Amino acid sequence: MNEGTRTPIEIAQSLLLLAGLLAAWEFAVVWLDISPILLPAPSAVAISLFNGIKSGLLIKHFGVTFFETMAGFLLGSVAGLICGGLIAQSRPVERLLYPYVIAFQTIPKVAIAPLIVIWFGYGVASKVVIAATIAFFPVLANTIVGLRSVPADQMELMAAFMATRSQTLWKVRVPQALPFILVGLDVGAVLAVIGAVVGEFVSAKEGLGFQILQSGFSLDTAGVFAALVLLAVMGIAIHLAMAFLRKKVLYWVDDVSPVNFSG
Amino acid sequence: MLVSDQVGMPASSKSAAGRPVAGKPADLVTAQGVRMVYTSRKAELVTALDDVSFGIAEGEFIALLGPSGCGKTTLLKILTGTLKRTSGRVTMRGQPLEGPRPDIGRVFQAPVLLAWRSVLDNILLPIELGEGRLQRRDYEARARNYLKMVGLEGFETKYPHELSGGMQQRVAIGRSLIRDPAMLLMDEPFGALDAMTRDLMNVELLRIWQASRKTIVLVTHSIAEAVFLADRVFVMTPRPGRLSEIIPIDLPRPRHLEMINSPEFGHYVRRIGRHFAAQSSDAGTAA
Repeated sequence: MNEGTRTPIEIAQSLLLLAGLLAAWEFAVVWLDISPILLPAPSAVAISLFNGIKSGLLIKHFGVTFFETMAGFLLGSVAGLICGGLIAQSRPVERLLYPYVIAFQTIPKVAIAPLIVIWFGYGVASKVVIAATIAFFPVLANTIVGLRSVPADQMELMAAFMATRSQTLWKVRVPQALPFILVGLDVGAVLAVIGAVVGEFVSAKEGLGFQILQSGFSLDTAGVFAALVLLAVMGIAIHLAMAFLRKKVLYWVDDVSPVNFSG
Repeated sequence: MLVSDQVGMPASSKSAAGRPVAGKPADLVTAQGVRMVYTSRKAELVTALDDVSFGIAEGEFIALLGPSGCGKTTLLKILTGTLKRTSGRVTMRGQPLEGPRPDIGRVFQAPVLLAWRSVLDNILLPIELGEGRLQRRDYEARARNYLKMVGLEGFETKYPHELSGGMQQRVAIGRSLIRDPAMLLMDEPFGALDAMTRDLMNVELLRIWQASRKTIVLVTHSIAEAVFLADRVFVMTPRPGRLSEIIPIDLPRPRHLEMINSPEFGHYVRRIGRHFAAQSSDAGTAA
């Protein structure tokens, strides 16, 4: 979202806004005497976060959720790339399957999380599978759309130069698809975090999702917020890593607007 | 002065240079009774090309001139080998043309460069595709040579988006030359450029043509461009696409932009212009 051209002044403005909001929040909680169970002050969240990190408890949960997210993302995106690549090889197959890809994409994968827990158990495996399922579709859809986004004149160029099918694929279609694929990976990676947390909500013994539920049950609202902060950090870090990757790989494009599925 | 060859009577007349006009083995390329019929979306048959016959000698510069929809591009695609003709005969060096060949170079309306490849890599693309990656090194010197010829020395490592439209089209011309083809097929190569750049590119093209001695077939809808560049202008008319006249241009070479103002030049332009005025009024024949 915010890759590229931001001036130091703009960054300072963003940070100032955050500081202002946190200060307003802090004072509102103190002056209006809001119960910490309803809304803890930022300072209380910070203390909870600090204690959690110091005791290693939050670090452990963070590590579990991060592993589930990454493993799920890797699994889902590799599967999405392979399936997308195969589907895009044949126009008839693509026409046959693409409507279903879209249809499955619109099903909220969150709703099938309990099913996956039943199938894959209460451990880490089920969370990885849920994260993979969610990450799969944006990568799949963007791979297909990307591979068929090659302009007609480029195809004619390759034909005039007597390129083979695989030459056309690797020298034109894949590079042409890369901007789309990288957006798919970006979306997929961020969605994988949601998948892992939802899996932990359904049933788990560890992870940030589990920690949020536990803190909620014991009315430790500051603890809920502390875990949320860590989740946000994870999501932002993943997105920034993907934006960095995109910039490195796509040295030749300034702007792309591929399909951006979410949900 | 002007010799016009009516289609349907091949070899009945000779061009100014005394060459046979159609179907003689001496020609680099010949076409005889070429016909192209499409099926439109409404399942109607559309005749894009009807009974097109001609011969092109080695080293000739031919302009395919006509309004849009007259089948110029269709004819060029058939000559490239990327489009199958419905009927008729096309030969190159006496052999039937049945698909793309390495000795035919192609330049499109747009540069069609691959954005992720540097200028040098774009020029070497046909080598990678045809001869293989390993052969690249053997052609690099030639690629640099052509870059120099098209006036882009020092731009080897630039990427297409760093170049202007005119420069990109020069890279495309370099790419079409890299396999040292006998013939270059160009589809309105400078159509997307502004008028001034276009004039300069045409002068450049003549220089490249004179330096490389390729046979060139160039599609255009500009009468002035056709007269300025070509040895012979193939005048095409639409619905159905026909080659209605072949007009040799006996202007001296090398040609310069000032020649556009000469009476002879004006004579050819008016001569061809009248042809289209008689055909239809909506044709885009403005120079």
